Amino acid sequence: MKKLLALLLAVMMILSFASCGDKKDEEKTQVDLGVIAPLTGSVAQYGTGVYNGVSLAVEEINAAGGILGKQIVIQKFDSKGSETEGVNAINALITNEVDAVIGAVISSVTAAIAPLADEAGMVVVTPTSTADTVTEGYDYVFRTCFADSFQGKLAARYADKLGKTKAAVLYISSDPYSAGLYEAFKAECAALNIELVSVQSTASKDDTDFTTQLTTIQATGVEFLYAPCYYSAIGSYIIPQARNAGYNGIVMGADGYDGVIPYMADPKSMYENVYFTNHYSKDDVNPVVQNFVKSYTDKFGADTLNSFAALGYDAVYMVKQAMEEANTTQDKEAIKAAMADINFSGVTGSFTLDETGTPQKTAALLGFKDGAEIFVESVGLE
Amino acid sequence: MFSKLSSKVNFIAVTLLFLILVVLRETGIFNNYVMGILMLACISIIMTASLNVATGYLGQLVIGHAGFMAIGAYTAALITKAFANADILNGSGIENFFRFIIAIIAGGILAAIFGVLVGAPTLRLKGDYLAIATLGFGEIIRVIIQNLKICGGKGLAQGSAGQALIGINRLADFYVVYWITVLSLAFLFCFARSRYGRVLKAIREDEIAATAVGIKTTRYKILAFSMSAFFAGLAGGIFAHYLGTLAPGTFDFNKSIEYVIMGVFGGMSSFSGSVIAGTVLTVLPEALRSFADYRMLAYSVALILVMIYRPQGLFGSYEFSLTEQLDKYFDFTNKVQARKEKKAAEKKAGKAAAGEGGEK
Repeated sequence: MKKLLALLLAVMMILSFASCGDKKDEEKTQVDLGVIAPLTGSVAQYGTGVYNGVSLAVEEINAAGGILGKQIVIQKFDSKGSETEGVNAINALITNEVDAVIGAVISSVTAAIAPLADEAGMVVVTPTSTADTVTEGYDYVFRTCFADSFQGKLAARYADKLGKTKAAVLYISSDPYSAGLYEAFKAECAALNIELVSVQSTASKDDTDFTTQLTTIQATGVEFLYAPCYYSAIGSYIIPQARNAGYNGIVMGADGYDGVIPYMADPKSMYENVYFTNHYSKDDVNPVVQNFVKSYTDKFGADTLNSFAALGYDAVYMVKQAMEEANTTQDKEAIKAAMADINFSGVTGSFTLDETGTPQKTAALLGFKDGAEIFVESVGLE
Repeated sequence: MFSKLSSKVNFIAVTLLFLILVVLRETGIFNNYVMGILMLACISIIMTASLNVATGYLGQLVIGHAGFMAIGAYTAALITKAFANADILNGSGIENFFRFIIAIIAGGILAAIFGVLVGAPTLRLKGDYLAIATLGFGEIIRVIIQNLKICGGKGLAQGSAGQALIGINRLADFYVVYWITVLSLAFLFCFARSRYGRVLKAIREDEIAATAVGIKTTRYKILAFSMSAFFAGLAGGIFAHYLGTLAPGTFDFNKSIEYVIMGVFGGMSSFSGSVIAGTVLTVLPEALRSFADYRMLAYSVALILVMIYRPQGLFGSYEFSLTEQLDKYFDFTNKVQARKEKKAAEKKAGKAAAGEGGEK
């Protein structure tokens, strides 16, 4: 009995010691910025692009005196594109009391970390998660990119603008990105009285043979094909096979086409009449864009320069602007309020955020000529 | 309840460990990050231990365990969502606890049913057919989930095919999960040591001999396999209610292999090995985070070293026994026995004395 009492007392003592360790609310002398991105694994190239963009922006801001006079220190976490690792990372960042988080990159990981961040009152800006639902209902979660449904709508509007009344679709049924874009496109087509004469799908994003689907589409005599797929499939397989099947109409896609140029087959003239919506255009004459393109290319080379890098870069500047407008780097409530009311202008356009924290912005419509990207026009919903 | 001394000792040890964890958590020494990793470790332990029944004791290579986990995860998640929508057991504390328990058990049962469906045809065959069948099964489940509208988007009413299932209530509380893990391990351990466990070992060692002594091998194989699936489904349910989000891509081939690695690392038919491997291989990649780019390299090197120097896994088929260790260093069992005898003797003596007193 005595032993038990002694044990109990010892436990109580430990407890009371531990409760003495409360930290004082000291003003930090730096801004801790957490970054969650897949730096290894199957989507590593997206994460690398984002991380490069983030580190470029941080370097620039620090060289110019930091945010409110405080230097930014990055805490980098590799999510490997897995939800579990993403949750571990956000838990660690909340524990480390960082001031804001940039991430995650792919939508499924962002969907996993959003409720945790929101509960802990941590400001999270995802640069690139385009799935419609990831920011819905979470006050502390914002994004820099537009949502998938927006791009699907834009494509339907563009078809309408070109005077097409019939369209065909080729999409990847198992892929959330592709399926989401198709659904948004379908809904907008119904609103605009565009008839979908042929809807073809493929089971996996790794498929390489689309001849059957494309021949069926060609047989309907349609002149507008919406194919929300990824750059490798578009460049190497879909366009050459479509042109082989005798389809010479328009092929339209979304930001998944970004990076297609190295995958193009000869002759490059096949890729004329191929259009896609993207977050920004390298050829935009806006000095902000040109400045970004130049500093990025100088630092990391042109190979990894894609919209992921641009969005990562903008996300950091969004955090900076929100902190400056709130006049604090630590009061998350104030930063969140400033972020919700932000009127931001950066590489990927000028925008305000809607009630879900999604930018209201325009997209760049890009095409190809002689194997190079050309800027067609800026498109928006208005 | 605890007739044997070792059960008492183990129960006390497990409770002590629990109390230590409670103290560490409540005082904030173990923050949410650490608790999250411990939760993942518990999930890995259940997965690895359940895999051990099929792979270690039954001797059948299963490389689709993530498929059962996925069934459990999605079933449990959709059940708690449906309950929340219908406002049944949707509150705080004890109500959430029951909702969680009902959901994960339902997930486990459905996984076990699928275990029977997959096992019944393939376990009749000899050889590596089960490995191939489970491999295919895991992939099929993943693809089916990918294409089910109910498993996408916000689930139930407003799904969109192929998307992650989001907004699952994060009901998994570490204290509850800790005891679920303890109970699962105790159950599996007792099962493996029972008549059934010995039958499984007999089948593993020589199926023809086992048949010759009158064992219905297929029935026992299916029993063990579906039990293994049940616990995988249970672990999946916990996983869903810890993460709050499910994406079909999580439960791919690599996830299955991850648990096979843990099983082999710890020792194929040792539950102590499952506990150690599940914990170490979950914590190791996180502990090595400060090495950033080299952490997966270090993880692989650790695995390779174990396989070179301990090809049978850390524990082989050895089970760690606390009572044995106590005996070794403190002569525990004998001391307890001596004390019991002494007490009994004292009682006797007391009674005798009282009897004498009564006489006077």
